[in-house]
Amino acid sequence: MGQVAIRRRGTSHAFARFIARRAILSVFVVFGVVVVTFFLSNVIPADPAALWAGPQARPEEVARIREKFHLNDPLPIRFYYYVAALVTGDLGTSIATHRPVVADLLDFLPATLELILAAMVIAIVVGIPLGVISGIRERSWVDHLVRFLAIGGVSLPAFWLAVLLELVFVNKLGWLPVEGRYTDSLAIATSFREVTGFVVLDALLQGNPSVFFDGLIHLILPAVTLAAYPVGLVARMVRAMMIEVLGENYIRTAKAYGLPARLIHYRYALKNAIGPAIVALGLSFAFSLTGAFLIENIFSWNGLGQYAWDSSLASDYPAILGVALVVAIVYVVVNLIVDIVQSVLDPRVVLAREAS
Amino acid sequence: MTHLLEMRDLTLDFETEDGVAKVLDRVSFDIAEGEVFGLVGETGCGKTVTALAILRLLPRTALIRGGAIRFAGENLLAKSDGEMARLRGSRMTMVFQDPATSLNPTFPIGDQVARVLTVHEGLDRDEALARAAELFGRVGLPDAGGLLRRYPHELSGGMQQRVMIAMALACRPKLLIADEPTTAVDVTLQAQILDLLLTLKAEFGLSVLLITHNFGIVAETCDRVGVMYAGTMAEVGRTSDVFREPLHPYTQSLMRALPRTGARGRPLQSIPGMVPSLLVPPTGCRFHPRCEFAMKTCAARRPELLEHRPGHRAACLLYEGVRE
Amino acid sequence: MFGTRFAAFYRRHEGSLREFRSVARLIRRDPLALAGAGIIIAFVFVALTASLLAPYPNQGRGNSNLTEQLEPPSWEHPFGTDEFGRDLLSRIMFGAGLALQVGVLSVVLAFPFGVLLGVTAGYFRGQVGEAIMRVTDMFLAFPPILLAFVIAAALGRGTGAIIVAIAVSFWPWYTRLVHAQVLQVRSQPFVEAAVALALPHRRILRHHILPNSITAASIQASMDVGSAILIGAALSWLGLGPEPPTPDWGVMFNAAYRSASLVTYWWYGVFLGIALFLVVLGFNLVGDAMREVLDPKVRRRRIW
Repeated sequence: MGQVAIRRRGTSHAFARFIARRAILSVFVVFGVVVVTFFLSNVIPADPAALWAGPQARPEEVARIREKFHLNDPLPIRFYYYVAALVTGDLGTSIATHRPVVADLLDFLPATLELILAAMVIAIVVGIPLGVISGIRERSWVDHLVRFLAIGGVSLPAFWLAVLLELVFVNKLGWLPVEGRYTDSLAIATSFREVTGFVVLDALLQGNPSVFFDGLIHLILPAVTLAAYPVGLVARMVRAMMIEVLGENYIRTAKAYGLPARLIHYRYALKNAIGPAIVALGLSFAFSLTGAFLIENIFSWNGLGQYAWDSSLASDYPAILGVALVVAIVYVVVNLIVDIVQSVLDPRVVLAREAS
Repeated sequence: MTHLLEMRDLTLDFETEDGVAKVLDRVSFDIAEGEVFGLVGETGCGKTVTALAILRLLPRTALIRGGAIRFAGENLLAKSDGEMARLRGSRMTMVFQDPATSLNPTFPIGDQVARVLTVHEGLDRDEALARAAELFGRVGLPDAGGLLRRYPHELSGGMQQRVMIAMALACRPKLLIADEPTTAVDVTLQAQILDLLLTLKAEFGLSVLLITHNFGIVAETCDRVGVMYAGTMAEVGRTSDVFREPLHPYTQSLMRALPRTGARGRPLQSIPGMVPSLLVPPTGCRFHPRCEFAMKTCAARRPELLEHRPGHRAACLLYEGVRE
Repeated sequence: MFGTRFAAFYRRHEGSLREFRSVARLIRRDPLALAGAGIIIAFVFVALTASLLAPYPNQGRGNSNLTEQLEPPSWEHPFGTDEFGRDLLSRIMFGAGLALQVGVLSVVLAFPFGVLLGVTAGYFRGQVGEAIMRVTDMFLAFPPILLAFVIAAALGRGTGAIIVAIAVSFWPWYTRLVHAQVLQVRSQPFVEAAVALALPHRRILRHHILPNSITAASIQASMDVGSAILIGAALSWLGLGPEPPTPDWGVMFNAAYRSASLVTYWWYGVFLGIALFLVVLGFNLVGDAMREVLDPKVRRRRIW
């Protein structure tokens, strides 16, 4: 027997190093976002102190508030105060609501997250099977239909779809509600309390089936609207990857060994095909964030989008910064998760990245 | 006497963007039980396609125009997909040219080999993995148990090829098709892999269809050999016969083209002309444009593969008594 | 004389010209691609001839018609009228050109920039390459809408601002795709040969590296035009686009949303949305078909 070498395998060391590097990079990115948004949000022409004090305030009052918020100091100093506060978890105080921005954010964030998560779930559950079937039956009518639907989904303007769905399902058919996350009267009647901010989760935890279903029903329309783009994206990605993977040598080997078609398609091929689809899903998150803001507006969904909208109207710059920061962090975390999932699915990714 | 594998007049076309390619034209040969049969020829002559045809693994663009393939007496061309799937990987298996891309990169190699056993022999996962480890040992892989969890990219080329061989032997097939098993591997490993194949052939009592373009390998390992040219079978016979007395002009040119140590300093002999396009192949005998003995009839009549010496067939009009 | 120049040009670029011919051939065979191409051609035609074809060109450009405010679709106004009484069909036709401009120009702006950076980073590598890629990563990780918002806010509103904002969001994608391909191409023997022959960098880049590294980015770009139009409309909707009464679709949508109930006056939003959807759909269909054709991985025909 000859000497044959075993190449360095993808040990947990390499994996941990990989994740660590990505995490550090993410921190830098978040910091970059903070810097950019801070300096640019100071281009706002309105006077924050005056806004804070309100239209009735006397000049001394406004001057005092200026002092209090360091508004007279030069920009770099203000940035220092901001970062110092940031490190202790203080995102400043909202000019409009006079509450800590962190508190405001915690109030509004779960709603948006719930919406986006629901959309992602729909994207996975609908998009992946469509993509697989389409990829297996390339060039058939099924394939053309799925391609058309997928491209259609990606082309739809979110706000337009929202309006359209509202017209059909709320006005014409009256099947679904249009406003808010749940019916207040129902919540009061069944003594429902928001704990985590995720209505569906809370209802589940409190054993409250009526609000649970009510919450789901309210969730359907906005989630489906938001899901149109990711579904299209995922289906297209999975289809393209399936076609590529099905042409690979190892699939030929699997066929040469008489493995059943379902096994080849849904295990052997799909596991290789799905990586880029997950990446695409993660990246569509960014698009979903945008879409979520618009959709929240239309469906009166009290999430970050509403908060950002109101804050920008009021030139409430701590709030705006807070939102930008949260959005960036969520974005970065999602990308990190996508990286982790990808390297779990395909062990070669870790080695490839290490080498580059 | 019935052979393990009998191919008779297999004719096959491929539909391409530029037209219909006549890829195989009346290819015939037999493989007996326990023998190593070499299928030799230049790149593109149809060796791999022939192998894939046996396994019925051809793409949808391939159209079988005629002929029969009999395996253990049964006509493979008449079998359904399901029946073929049961045969593939169990009674007949294939080892591919490029082991690196022929193994699934996202599954451990133990799983991949075990899967063949669970599908074809109904073993449960643990039994199958144990058998896989045993097979790894048989093909000369060290630390068989530990290897089960490794991924293909963690192994060297030689090890990957051994894994493929292990997979091919898992269900004790009667026929193992090896498509250029040593091309992707360096020379020192080549010898080991060939030795391995021969040892295992004796141990398992199987037949091997060895596809290669390397005559040296043929000389060392094959009992019988078939020489293919441009989709046709030019000559078939025992290795010693074909090497000692090549009948077909093509085989003769190939033998002449082989570099020999004694001929050092003299120019290498090559065959004039180029391999023909399969879209518009030459009429009659496909070799006639490049053949030094070509006669007028060679362009008109296609020679049959006839037994002009005992146990030694060739397709050439020269031996059919044609004079012009 | 001219003929020989042309012949030389043809000979040098015969390879890529043949690629284009096969692209055209395959697009003709794919029903979806055909539909997409048809839609694009139709919209370009409408955009170019809006002044001639629109039934009420002046209203299209912005003149009010206060006697017929918010009228439902009719023979005189097939798409109805807006809150200023302007014919929506004309407005939409005039807006088509703006939408197309945003989509095409932003990609045309971002692509060369991104490709240049990607080639530089991939070819010269070292610290320069690393630095470029870190910056690219940062831009990539920045939420695009935020980026676009910030830029548009800094530049003031208008179509130009939107185009720049979208371009700035898109270029990192091309850089990353090109960079990955350049790394691959660079390691190939024919490039090593060129380097060994001490050919000037510019020549190597132009003849060897560049043509072989832009496929992925080109495919992405062809699909990005549709997205650019969508994002442009969204940014206009948010108020970063041109001022009313410019018939920019996003601006119109915003006006529709704010001044009229989109449910009662359904024609206001619905036709706008259909127009936007169709344009984006057209570009995406063609982009997808181009990907089917150009992507070497998808195109591979395996003989096995």
